[in-house]
Amino acid sequence: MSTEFISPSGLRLDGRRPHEIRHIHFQQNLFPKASGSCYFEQGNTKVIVTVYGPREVTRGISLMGRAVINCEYSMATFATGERRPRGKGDRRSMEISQLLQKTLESVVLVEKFPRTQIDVFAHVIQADGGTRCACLNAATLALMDAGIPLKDFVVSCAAGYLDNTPLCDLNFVEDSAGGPDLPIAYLPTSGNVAMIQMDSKVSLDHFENILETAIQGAKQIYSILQRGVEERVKELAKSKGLS
Amino acid sequence: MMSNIIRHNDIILKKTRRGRILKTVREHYLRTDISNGIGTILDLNADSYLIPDVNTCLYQIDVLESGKVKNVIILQTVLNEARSHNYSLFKRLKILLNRKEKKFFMFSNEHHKDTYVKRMKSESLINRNIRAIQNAAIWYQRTSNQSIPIYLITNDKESQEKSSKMEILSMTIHDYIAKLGIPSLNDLLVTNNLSIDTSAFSNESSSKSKLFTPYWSSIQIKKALAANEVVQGKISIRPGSQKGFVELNNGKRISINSYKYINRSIDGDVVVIQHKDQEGEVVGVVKRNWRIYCGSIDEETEIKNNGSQWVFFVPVDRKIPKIRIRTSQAAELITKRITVAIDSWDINSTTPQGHYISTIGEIGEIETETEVVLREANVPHYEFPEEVMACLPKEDWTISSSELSKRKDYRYSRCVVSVDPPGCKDIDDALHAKLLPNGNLEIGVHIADVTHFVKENSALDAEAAHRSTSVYLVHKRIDMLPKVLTEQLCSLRANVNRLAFSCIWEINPNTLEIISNEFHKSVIRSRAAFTYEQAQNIIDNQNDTSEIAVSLRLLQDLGKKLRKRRFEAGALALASPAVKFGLDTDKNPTDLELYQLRETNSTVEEFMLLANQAASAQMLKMFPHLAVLRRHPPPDSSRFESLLKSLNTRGLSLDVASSKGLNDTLEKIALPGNDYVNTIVRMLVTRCMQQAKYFSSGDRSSDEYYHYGLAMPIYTHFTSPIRRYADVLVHRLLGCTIGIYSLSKGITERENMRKTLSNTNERTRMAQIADRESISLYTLIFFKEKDIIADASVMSVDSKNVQVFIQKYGFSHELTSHENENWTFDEENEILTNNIDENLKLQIFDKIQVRIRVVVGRYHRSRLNVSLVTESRIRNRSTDREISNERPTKKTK
Repeated sequence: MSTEFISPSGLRLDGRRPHEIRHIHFQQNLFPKASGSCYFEQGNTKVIVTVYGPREVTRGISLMGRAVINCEYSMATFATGERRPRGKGDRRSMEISQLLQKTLESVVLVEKFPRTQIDVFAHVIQADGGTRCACLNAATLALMDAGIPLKDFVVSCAAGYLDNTPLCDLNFVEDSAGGPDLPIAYLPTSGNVAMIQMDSKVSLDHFENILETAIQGAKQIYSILQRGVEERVKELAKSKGLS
Repeated sequence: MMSNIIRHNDIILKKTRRGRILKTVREHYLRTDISNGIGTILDLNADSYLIPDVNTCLYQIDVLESGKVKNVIILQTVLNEARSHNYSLFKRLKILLNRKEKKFFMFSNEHHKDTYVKRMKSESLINRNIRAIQNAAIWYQRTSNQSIPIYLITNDKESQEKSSKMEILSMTIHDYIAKLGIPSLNDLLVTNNLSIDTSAFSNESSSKSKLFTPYWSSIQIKKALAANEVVQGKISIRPGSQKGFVELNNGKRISINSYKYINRSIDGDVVVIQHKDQEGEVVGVVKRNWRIYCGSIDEETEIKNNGSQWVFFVPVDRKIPKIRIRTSQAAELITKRITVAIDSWDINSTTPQGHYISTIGEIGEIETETEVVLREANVPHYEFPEEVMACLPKEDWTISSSELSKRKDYRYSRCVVSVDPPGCKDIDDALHAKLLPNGNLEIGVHIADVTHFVKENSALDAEAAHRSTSVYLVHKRIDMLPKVLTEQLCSLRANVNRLAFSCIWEINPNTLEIISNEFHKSVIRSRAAFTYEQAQNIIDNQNDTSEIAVSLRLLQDLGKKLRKRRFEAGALALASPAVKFGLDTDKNPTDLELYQLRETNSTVEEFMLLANQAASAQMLKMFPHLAVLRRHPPPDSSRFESLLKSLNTRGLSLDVASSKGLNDTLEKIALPGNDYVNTIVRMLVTRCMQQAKYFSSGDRSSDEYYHYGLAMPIYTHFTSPIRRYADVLVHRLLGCTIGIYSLSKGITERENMRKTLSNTNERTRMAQIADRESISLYTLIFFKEKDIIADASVMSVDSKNVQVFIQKYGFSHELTSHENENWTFDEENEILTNNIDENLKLQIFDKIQVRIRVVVGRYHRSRLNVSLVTESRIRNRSTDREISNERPTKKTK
């Protein structure tokens, strides 16, 4: 007996249509002590990202011509249904930390800040599938909050393939169904894909379709982020008497 | 996400296997953009719209499926609950929802802002669901055209009362059907006030004495199972008796010898058994194996002229008890084969209660009885649904030039021919042979490229996987794929361009060494489609030196050598005699004879074996854990024991230690005086064999891959993708090995593959049963109103029955007139002696004469009556020597 991921009327388990993303809510500038911060909700996946820097290199090697980005991904003990101590040093966290770093390095104008480091701390408070995508989206917003110049937005969204249908922005139930899971990071103004990850096997015939679904989801997220950021900038400008 | 969507969370508490409580939070979106289906799927001007509740869907599905009940709204709440109660019913509901013409619409009320109902504190889930259904009904009433009534269909009194308070129109399904005024629908209804009979009847049982013992409650069963006081297993009923047994996992059997102790369980039910002095008693049924049964109404029923009446329905399957049904059309149904489903079995009733579903046709007609055979063997034989037909290419389809450029072109460069039985329209395979300049042979086996047309995950693919095999009956074929593919586009007919999947070898004709072997997709153009006989005639005609004749001779020579090598390696030749019916234009049998085998049969077979073997090797090399293979386990030596003992009484023996030994001794086995001894022994050995099965190589250890009958370490089926689904899977996998397909989820996921293959194995087995049943059906028709005396040989003798082999017609049968009390059985020598006439003895391989007649029993059960012709037997004995060389003579009445 298998679970049906799409009902005969075409709705997913949580009531979304295949191409719809989850509800998105975010708030920037939560922690004045940090250079930039963002609280980000993508459905029931909730993350906080704080950014420190650019600042003097404390550990490791400083690079002559550019800034170094350090990322750290961690998950709260209470983030999933089962309470379990989770470190930041386990294999999965390390992998996602690396992924965040690589992706952000491709959009931050690192050469503007030689011999500095930028620290990005991503913390998952509640996990319901797609934590790495939520962290990337939150990181973009936190970097903007910190005033660090970026080439472009980085919006991230995952897509999967269940019941012969490409699905956008998988939640935990869909994620753990065993189908393919394809998270991407998309640069909306240039139209480039900055990151793509694929661990499971998928037939090549479906791949294009899934990728297109993920990009389409990223575009939806972009329009929400763009609107939110614009509003906040307008507000800031107003408070400083600029508009 | 759109702004008009509200989001909230469902909180579910779950207990894990370790006993911890998990809190799961799931998002639940409520929307306003869900259509009510009116005007799209539901008719705009319907008489009424129906909203059935869960129990109506669960119990009255046959009425819903009848096609007469239209404009039905299935709520998501109902569908979800139906799913948790009965998965197969849920699937039937889903099929209804998928067929547009049925006009069933699913309304996602749980995700609509106005119809969603939050569960209140201390409210049971059932009550909450009832409220959700009522809410949805109210919403429909409010939002749709007021002049069309919307009925909530429920048989539950309480919910009817509640509904009337809320001003919802409600009625029972019985009232609705009465209102429709189609009397035949009444029979489809399950009778009112059903109680689910697996629940305990503890309070009732104390008051009155019951016919059967009440079932235990599920808690009681769980406890008793844990304490090892009871055992669980599948019950098997002996045909025609009221006795059964349960086979446990360790192979032990517990017999149940009385109807009372079988306690309302039916063959195949998973039951719980309590030991009671030497036998078991069923105390609970865990899982029912009820299906739809074919049969007829007891012909001795007194028929009322008007109104409905109770009648007994007698299933064709003799393991199933009579079923009591209520019908208003008894007069019409009495001469018909009908189908019936069981609804319940009351504790005070000797028989289960059921309801009529459909009429198949007039009893005794070939079409009707064939339909019964197909249904009882559970062979899917309905017309291909629309969505499957939509996957097919047009009939004027031709090979596109882009397709042509991707394939090897053998159309004019090779002399490809096909050789098949006469009348074969689904030509799977074609062959070519070419002498290479270096003296080696190039051999090509070209198989219809079915996977080019049957794309993975399409509706067509799902249908083919479901059917799994074509079923060959005496007078017709039930196809796995639609006719356009089976007989036209895939069939490798003569003088047309066809797509093929080719397996090409370069072979040294003397050493038989394979120099190279490769698989690729190709285009071929068969020069001719021969029958075995035609091909043999061309080969034998030495004056014919055409390209085709030369090619055929090359194939035959090489085939012979390959065959010899195969038998030297230990393959078994166990072809049991196949019978062949001659049919007239109305498909009535006119003739019955043994099927003639020609040398070309074995030549073609040899190359198919070679191709299958090559395919299995290629798959296993590239995908060691994914290959679809076919294994044939060696026979259980205990099965041979009684056969060896019987042979020993005639001074014969067999070496059963290995397949090679078996084959060698089988070759030599003979007895002066009876030419059929060899055939009979081969038939008996075949009965000791196990079934060959498909499996995925990742699921078994490599020593289990062995194919005993062919003496090959690995084997698969590659050569008949038109009629076997396993071959389709093999084609896909082979396509992956040569890089033209990519590995998909359907292939790589083990669970998925396991499910597909176990279905294929089961369908293959059922197809054999259907084939056998069809042959016995035709045998009965052939011998009907005849009274024939024929020569026969005794196949086996024991105290209970005697099996004889009737040479002329090529089938074996039990001696029916043989009565126990008049005969004494000598255990040691296995000889039956007649008590009255001591000269009359029966022993294995005795030549006898039998009289064949058809007797029609009660309940339209015809059977073949094969009785011993005693006088001739005595005469034969005295003149043994004279007739020993005599060929069996025709002795029709």
